[in-house]
Amino acid sequence: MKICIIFLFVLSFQTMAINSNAQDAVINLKTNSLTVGQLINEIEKQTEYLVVYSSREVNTNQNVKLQNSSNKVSDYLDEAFAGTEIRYEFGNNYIVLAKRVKDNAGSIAQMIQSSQQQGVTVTGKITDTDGIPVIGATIVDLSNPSHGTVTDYDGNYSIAGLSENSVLQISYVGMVSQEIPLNGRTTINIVMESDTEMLDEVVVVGFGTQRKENLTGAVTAVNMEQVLGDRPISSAQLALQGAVPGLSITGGSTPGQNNKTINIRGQLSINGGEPLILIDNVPGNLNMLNPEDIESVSVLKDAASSAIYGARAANGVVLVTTKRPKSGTDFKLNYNNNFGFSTSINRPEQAPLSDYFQAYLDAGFSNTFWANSQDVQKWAQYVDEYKTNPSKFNTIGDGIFIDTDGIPYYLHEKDIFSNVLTTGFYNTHNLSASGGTEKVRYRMSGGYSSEDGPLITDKDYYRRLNVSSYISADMTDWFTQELDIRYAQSKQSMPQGRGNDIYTLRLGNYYPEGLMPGSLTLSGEEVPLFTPKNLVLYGNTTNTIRHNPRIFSKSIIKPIKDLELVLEYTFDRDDFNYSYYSDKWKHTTIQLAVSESPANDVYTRQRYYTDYNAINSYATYNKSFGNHNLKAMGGFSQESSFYEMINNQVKDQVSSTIPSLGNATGEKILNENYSEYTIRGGFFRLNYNYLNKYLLEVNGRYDGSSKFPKSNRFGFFPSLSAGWQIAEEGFMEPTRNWLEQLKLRFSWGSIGNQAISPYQYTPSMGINSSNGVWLINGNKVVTIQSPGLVSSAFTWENVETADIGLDFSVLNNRLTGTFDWYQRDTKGMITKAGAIELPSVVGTEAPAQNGADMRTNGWELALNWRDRVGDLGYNIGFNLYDHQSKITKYSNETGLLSDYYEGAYLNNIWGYVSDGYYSIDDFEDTNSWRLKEGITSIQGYNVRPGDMKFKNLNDDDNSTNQIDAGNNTLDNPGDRKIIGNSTPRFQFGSNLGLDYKGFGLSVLLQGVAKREVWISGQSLFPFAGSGSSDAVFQPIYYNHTNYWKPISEDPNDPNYMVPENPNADYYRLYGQVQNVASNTRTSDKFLQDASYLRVKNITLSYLFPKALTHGIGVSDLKLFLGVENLATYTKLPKGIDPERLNWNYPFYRTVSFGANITF
Amino acid sequence: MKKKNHITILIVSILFVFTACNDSFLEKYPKTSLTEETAFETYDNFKSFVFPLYEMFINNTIATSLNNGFAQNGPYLGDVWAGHLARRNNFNPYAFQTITNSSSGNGWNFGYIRHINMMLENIDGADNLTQEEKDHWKSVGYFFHSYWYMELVNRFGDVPWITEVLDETSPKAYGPRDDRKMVTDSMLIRLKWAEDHIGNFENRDGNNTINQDVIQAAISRFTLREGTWRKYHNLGDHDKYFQECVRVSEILMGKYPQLYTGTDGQPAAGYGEMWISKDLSDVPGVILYKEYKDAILTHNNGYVEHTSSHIIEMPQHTVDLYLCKDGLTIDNSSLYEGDKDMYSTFRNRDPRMYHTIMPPFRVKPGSGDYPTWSFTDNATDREYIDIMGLNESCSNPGVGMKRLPAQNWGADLLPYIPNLQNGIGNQGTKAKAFVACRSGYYVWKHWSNWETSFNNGALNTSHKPIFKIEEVLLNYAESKWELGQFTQDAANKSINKLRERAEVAPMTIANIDNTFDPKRDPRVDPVLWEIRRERTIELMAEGFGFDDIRRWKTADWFVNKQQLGMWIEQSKVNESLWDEGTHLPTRNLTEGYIYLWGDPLVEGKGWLDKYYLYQVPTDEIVLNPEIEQNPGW
Repeated sequence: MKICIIFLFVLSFQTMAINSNAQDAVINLKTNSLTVGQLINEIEKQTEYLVVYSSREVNTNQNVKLQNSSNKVSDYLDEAFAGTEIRYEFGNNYIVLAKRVKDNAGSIAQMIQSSQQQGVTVTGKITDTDGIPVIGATIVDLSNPSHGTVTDYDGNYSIAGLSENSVLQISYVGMVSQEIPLNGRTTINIVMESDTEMLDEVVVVGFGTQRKENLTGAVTAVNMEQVLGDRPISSAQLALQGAVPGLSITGGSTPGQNNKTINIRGQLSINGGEPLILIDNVPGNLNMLNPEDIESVSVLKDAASSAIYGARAANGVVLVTTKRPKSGTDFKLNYNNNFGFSTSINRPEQAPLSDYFQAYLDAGFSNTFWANSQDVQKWAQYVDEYKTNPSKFNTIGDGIFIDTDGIPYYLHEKDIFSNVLTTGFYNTHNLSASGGTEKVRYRMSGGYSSEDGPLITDKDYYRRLNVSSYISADMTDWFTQELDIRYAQSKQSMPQGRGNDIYTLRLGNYYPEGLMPGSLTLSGEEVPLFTPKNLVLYGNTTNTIRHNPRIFSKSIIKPIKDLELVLEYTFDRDDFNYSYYSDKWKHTTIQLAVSESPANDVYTRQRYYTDYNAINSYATYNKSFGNHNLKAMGGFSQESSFYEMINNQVKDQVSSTIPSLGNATGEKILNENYSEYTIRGGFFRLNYNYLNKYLLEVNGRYDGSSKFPKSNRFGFFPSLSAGWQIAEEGFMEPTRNWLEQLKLRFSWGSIGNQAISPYQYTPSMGINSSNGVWLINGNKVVTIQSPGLVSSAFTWENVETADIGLDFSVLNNRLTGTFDWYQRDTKGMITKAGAIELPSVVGTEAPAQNGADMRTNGWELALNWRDRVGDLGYNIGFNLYDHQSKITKYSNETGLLSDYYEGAYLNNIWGYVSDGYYSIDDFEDTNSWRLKEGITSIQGYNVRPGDMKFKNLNDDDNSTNQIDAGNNTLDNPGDRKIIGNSTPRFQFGSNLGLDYKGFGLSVLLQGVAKREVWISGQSLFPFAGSGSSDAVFQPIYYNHTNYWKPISEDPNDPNYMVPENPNADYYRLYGQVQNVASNTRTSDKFLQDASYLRVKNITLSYLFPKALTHGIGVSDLKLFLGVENLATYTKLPKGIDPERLNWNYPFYRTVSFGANITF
Repeated sequence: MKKKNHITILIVSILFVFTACNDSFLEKYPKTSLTEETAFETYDNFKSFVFPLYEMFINNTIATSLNNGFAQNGPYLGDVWAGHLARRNNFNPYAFQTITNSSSGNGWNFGYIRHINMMLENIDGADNLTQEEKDHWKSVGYFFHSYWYMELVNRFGDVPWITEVLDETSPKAYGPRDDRKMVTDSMLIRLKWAEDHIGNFENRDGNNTINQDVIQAAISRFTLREGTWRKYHNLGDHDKYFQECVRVSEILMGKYPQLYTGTDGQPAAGYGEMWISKDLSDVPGVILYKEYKDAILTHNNGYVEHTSSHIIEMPQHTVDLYLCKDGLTIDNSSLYEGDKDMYSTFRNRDPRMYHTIMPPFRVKPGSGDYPTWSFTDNATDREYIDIMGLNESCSNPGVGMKRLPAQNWGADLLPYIPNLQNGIGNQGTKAKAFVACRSGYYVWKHWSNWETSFNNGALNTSHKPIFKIEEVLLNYAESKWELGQFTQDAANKSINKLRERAEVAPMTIANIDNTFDPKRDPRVDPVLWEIRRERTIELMAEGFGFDDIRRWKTADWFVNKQQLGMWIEQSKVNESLWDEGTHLPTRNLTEGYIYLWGDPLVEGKGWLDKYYLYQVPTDEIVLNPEIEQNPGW
């Protein structure tokens, strides 16, 4: 199935013996007019013979007209190769086709003679890693290289005439060669491993393909089958995570949502900018594509590789190529499935209630707690007793105990987070049929994937159906037409709380689940409590249905030799349908009041579609003149995108069972929105190489975009790259036995970035037909907004990338690697409106303009080791990459820190440096709480013992030994400095593979080695770092319990405000004075380390021996068992996933199994 | 080969069609918005362009502006900064010098000014409008321009005077601040022009929009503020402002002769109901108000006061500012029964106090006289229930305005007041977590029983006044005094109208001397002090406090007062009490005032004179060095 890999055979085989009778074998042909290839197929089908030949020597596409009436194979062959240099030899089971000049037949005779010689005879069997016999593998005695043999149909060989210390070299095209000393053995079975590196790999590049060894740009190609394997994932994005150095994919875990951010080599611009995702040369929605339909993904990382796609390709290109069968391949029917069970892997964890009550009291609150005047001490005691002896309490509802005062106490301590979670179920089924005759190639596939997520109920699900149909026909020998039609449909359902409160961190773990007994509610009704679980159970879901039809037509004309003209047309429609009806449902909180929410039910219908039309036409000319190889390509591209959105919200349905836009009696908010852009450009590429050793490539594109004003609409973006195959040089001869490849690459290119929203150069005034800023007789008013400032001069951002790369392959191709270093300058970045500060008197933000430059430096390393020890094959792949971006120009001369400034690294975190806690010794007395001379004070706060102390880094006229933010400028940042950076650094991915007699094991790892993030809120600070009045709503989490606490709060006690634990994790808890805001300011103390390592997947598989499955008509049968997201190692607080950095829809582990069958 | 040529020609011609010099392919414009050329053509265009400016009335940069959410983020704050009110969870930053530097914002905002200037620049070219219509929109533009400049000047003093649309290249964008007197004089000219030229387009604009009365009310507020500022901050040229204030105030007093007396029957009902009425459209004295309507536009001002999240309370010294019903101070009134018991503190006081802070009461919870409560056997416990009216239903929504006993938003009964946040439950000082405060004096200006409360989305719909005659009467009284014209007649036309509605004995100027209020700021004339007291009490919790004490230049007097809570026994509260000798907290007294916050002066803090003007955000000076900082910052 590796269509991007072409086998170029090197003829190096021998036959066993000549059987003269063999020449009498007969076959029946239905037609006398056929190709050499078809003839060979027929011979193999109708006789026992295997036809062995080199595709370089034998043209299988050649048409022959046969006169033969004898039906003898030998006669047919005579006729077919009459007038050519090809001759044939019959072996036991073989027919060898070879060029006459080499006179292999003669050497075969010699071989036979030498095999008759005396000496040790060794026999054995050669198989591949799947246990399939390797037919025609060459076994040569290294001490006498002219002495050798080949394996037979069953992979068996026998070689005589060896000495005891002979070393056998076993080689086969496309497999890793092995050298095996006899060491006295007479039976040696060998497992050979396929070697993709050794093959002449072809990589898909912009509007064409390139042999990998001739690549001069920074391109990483991934075979989808390798990264997807049998993993329980329905999206190609997930499969690519960690697979490509420089390609970073991050984001949430919700299945089917476009919540992953893809990024190549870091943030392109202060305006963001995403890589261009192309499906067969034209943008598409990767989420809607069945990864099973993907053949390969090429990631074009440097400007030289991506420039051909023009102004949207500045952040690189992810080039997805769908599966296309080759000519003359057998009909193949494949079915695979995957069943998985998913459970969440990371949840927030609250501290025990006993700690919570203690913290509440330590914060200085009264004993009488919460809405119903519960007494904290009593409550704590009840909870304690309930734990050991629940039957002692006569509870109602979910552990609600009414004590003698009639006050309810909530005694059941629980994990409200796990209560919304259960085991989800995942399953996929894929069926595909493919094949090709000489003139027609086809592939049809259907896929269905379904995920019921890990939330309780089956309300969170994602289902997708994909069908595709590809057909390619050679209508004449110079005209080929391809048509690829695919359609995808997905449906997603997701429970919707009020806002996002299914994932609230604001609810204590004493909160009862289920229903609040009617005896307790003020209205006497029994109603559900407002817990995350009930929100899922009682709330409605958002429903999203997407349709994505896509038509791709490609016409290929070869009018003359070496010239190919291509015309591609693509239509893609992304049709999005969203609906959500909030309904109203009654619930209560533990404040006991029953309310119905929301106050007004809202029905939302949103529908948008994007119609995308693209035409690419290009011509490729290929020519070799002696040792000079030339390839030229030029073309034209035009794309238009039209987006239309209608978004309606209506309130107060007549009936909640049939919500509709028409059945609303309340307010109606109707919106429409359009966005349109067009792009047009011409492009070219020239490739030249000498002896395939010195490589040169020039690209260019002239591009225009409707997103820019007429005067600045077009831009020309050139690029240049060169390569040098050092290992091919004569002076490298001494290293050739261990160094197979050493290639140095250099590239430079310039690309425009038009990744801004359309219409920015048109000053527009929004109209709001229903603005609540004022009412007139109960109706909202119509408002018109004033326009912002607009710069008419802005144009493309320009991205220049220089890349130096090294590719190598050593130790008999066991170790291969690639290293790239690059520098990317993003120039003339469009500063968004307001990004450049204007004096406020202007009254609006500065217009967008090309005002900033940024430089990104980075490197990428990929290493692969592949080897085999006996039956055990193994491989280790590792990639590591890093980049950092720095602002090199920004019109912020004063260095305001609220803005970018020159020299700033992207994602720097400014903060204060902690210096322990204030102690009572820092104060003059405990009445005025005046700080002693020389003790650092904090502007805006009157500190007390137990408050965070910070290091005084900077003094100025207004601030002597005082913590403040200074002028908020680079020159005077106050007492802040750069304490960290949230750019993920040293991102890595790794894959490990083992195979042994049909068993396979693969492990995928992925992670980030260095990253700091600032996370505030509940997961980090006790009572969420908020004031006292909110403390009753804010639980304490497991990591908050060690806070600064005085031994005594009695001013007369000698231990007044002397801490029990001077080195506590947290500052003192506050009842009244809110120094909390000072204590929770961004500081190094609470900066989080967001580095992580995640075991993404482990899969164990077993491929049944073919001998076993052949009998039932199955060519391949594989069973597998895998785990996705097995383990994560991170220092972040529980519940905070390092890929998303907050608590939300859970990340989950999927244990899956399934089968892959090919007929 | 012939066929091949045909197809090649076909493809080449297809390419040609697509590549043809078709510029329109790359010209795309938005489909759903206007441009400046098309936005100012009709009368209604101008109307729609002006409506966004009404946002100023909920923009809390202006302390008196309303808040659609919680009033504690809006008008209450003006009186918190003045020290008249307190926040439960934090002290007054002006008292403890915790005002931090502002690098941006701080009210230095010219967005509305740009919007208005854009309209003003487009009026003359609007050929479809009559001159009268043009004058009307120009007047409305001048009103809003001045209304926002009132706040800019109030905060910063000198400010750039911007009357044109600026862009990044305009010299004015990088110019210096203009002299306050030049700016305010220009504003006055514009406001008077608008007063003369605004048309009567009520039928086209709506009946609750900017009209001549609104402009006059704005002039009344503006001129008093500017006049007193100029006078007390020694800028001179203040009398014409007082005269202007008297002029427009008298016009309005003629147009709005009545004060609202309310519907719910309590003493001073009209005073309290001004903030919690269902409909202000026909309420006497209301000049401009903000309309709210169920499911269309709602607020949360009432709801929050029924929850545990309301943090606004009154310190003892402000309670002491309320007169007794005989019109005398607590120091001189024979009706005053002392503050050692909450019931006596409230007894015989100016009823406006009951409408601002919740009076004490006690009932028995559980079904009895009424569905969820019954009276206790102690008659005193119902004294203020009888005055405020009975909350018979204890439901959500309930009935009436400010009825007792109180309840939370979900109609959970609050059986007694005081309900101290740190009161001790079994001592009868802590009933519930909601509707609790630390001082004992819980502010409930926006509380009503009839509005539906809800903890998920705002459901309150009471209308809120923006300009009303009560303020104008007080502006008039103060201006008259500043002009030396505050006669008994002037008092009768202004302050005594408010006293009459509040059922407090009228002010008799002749009786006011140095002994009238021994606790007054001795720097202030006794009569002026009483005029200011009336203003403070009448406009309590409406956002005027801080602006008033700054223009009077007596901020230190109010801000430096130590904020204390009610008198209580130590055994009833988990708080320190106030040591009168040291002003420090103590737990060694058996009873005393609740110690809320430290004494700013004892802590070595207190009001700084630089606070009279706000800090110009430092970013602005960095961006434009021509801008000078205000003194002290």
